[in-house]
Amino acid sequence: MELSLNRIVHNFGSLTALSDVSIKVNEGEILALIGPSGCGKSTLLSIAGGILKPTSGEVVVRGSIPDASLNPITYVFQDFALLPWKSVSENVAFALKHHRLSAVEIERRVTNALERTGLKDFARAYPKQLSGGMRQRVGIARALAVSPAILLMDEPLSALDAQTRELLIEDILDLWRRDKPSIVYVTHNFQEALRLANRVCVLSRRPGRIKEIVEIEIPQQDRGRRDVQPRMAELGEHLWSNIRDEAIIADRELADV
Amino acid sequence: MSEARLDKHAPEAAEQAERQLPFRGGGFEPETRTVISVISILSVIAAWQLATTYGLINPIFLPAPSHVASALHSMLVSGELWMHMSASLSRIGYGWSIGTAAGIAFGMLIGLFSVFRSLGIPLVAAIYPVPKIALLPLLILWLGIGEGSKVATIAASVFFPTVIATFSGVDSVPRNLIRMAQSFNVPLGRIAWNVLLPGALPSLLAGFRISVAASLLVLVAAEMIGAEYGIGALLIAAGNLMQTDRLMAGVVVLSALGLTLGAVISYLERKLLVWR
Ligand SMILES: Nc1ncnc2c1ncn2[C@@H]1O[C@H](COP(=O)(O)OP(=O)(O)OP(=O)(O)O)[C@@H](O)[C@H]1O
Ligand SMILES: [Mg+2]
Repeated sequence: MELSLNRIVHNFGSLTALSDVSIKVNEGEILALIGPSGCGKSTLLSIAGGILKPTSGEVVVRGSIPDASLNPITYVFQDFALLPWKSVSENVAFALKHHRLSAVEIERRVTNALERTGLKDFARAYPKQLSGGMRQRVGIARALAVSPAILLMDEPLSALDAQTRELLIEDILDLWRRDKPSIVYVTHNFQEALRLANRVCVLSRRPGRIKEIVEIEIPQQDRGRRDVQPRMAELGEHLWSNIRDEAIIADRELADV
Repeated sequence: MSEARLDKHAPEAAEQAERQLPFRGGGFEPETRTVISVISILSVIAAWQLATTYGLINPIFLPAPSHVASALHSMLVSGELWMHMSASLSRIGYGWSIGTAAGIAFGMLIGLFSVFRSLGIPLVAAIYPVPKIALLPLLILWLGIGEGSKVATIAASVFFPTVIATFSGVDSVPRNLIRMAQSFNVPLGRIAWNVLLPGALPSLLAGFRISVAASLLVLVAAEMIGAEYGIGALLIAAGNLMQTDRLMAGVVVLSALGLTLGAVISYLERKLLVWR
């Protein structure tokens, strides 16, 4: 399934968060959305996920929805958004319960999602008993349980420490290789973008508009190889120089407010 | 270098001496010591008993605890106490349940929809401070002097704090959780039941404490104004006859009732809020 955002403009009152953003998410790709703080990345993702109405512009999907998909466009939240009063398996089941599935099917989907995220032993635990990394795994498991065609991830790892982040990047890549959902991955960490993305879309500071789209032609599994390091470094420098200027100016602007 | 080098400006000699680091406190953690609580209550009762026995207090104004106990005992044996208790319990049971159910429903509506919010909050703000017992004469006109008006007054006294506890509880549910549910297309009813209500539960249970106290207050007042049976009726009758031992027995029963209801709420809090 493809997702197109066409000429999206969004204002919060008198503040223009996004001005005329058009972008297409191709089937099965990981698109990283990167840009300075406050440039409208979350806003854009919320619009893509249908939980925020844009001031103008349209969101269009093209292509068939996979049969098993209960929620074709699915969100993974920065702060995990787990229900603290539900156990891990109940949290995952919460996304399924209203779909008129049989109890067996719900159980199958929950178990499967928990297995794939390494949470099987924590099914009965409550969120407060889990580490940050585990909590975000629950968020990812919940998203997987509905078999999404497009995953929208809003800085899913930014609340986690560096080691956990490293582990989860690997996990996300594994999951992606298996089902090949399209992923829109918002981050302001260009290293994360370099590890994960097929394309990196750089947004300018507020009002957000697309500054550049960088294609990373090296397949994700080869990016650790020694011979591609010069190219990766080159891409990294390019991205960083691009973001750096924007970030410096955005930072000053924020200080003015 | 010495191990206990605390103060750079200390003279050389002091720098050489080893000193223990003083413990500076681990945050204030007051705890209730059950023994002390029991002893303090017992000593108050003992002092009261002694004061009446030695004639420091006129037993007409304040009977000795032993007299209160024997009055309580005889009322218990004769079944009189149960007659009053059951009348009061059924009033408070009906009144509290009706007020709570209506209050939660209305509070949810205020938490969910702008119409109800704009309509409800000023209304609640205007009526909440009115002592609900003031409505009793009006409710008697509407519903008669019987049970209906008493139950309705209790329900009214419970309704308002419950509405406030419910909608402020709903307001305190992180918006992100609601957005999460919406992003999975979860229908409104399920969001209300699985997200808003559990999220509002801590506030709701705190509201129960207030509403239980309010309902006890209104119950006794309403029964004092016009009832044949009930703890309030018992108090007024005993007062008129200067039977202070029976009067105090009624007060003890009320205290026990309040404590029991408080304990039930504490139990619910422990059971229902394990996830916190
Ligand atoms: N509900 C809102 N009301 C008013 N302004 C908002 C609202 N949400 C976001 N904004 C503003 O819109 C701009 C874009 O916000 P957004 O959250 O999309 O940025 P972001 O790129 O995700 O930032 P970050 O990297 O900090 O997450 C910011 O300046 C923010 O202050
Ligand atoms: Mg954001």
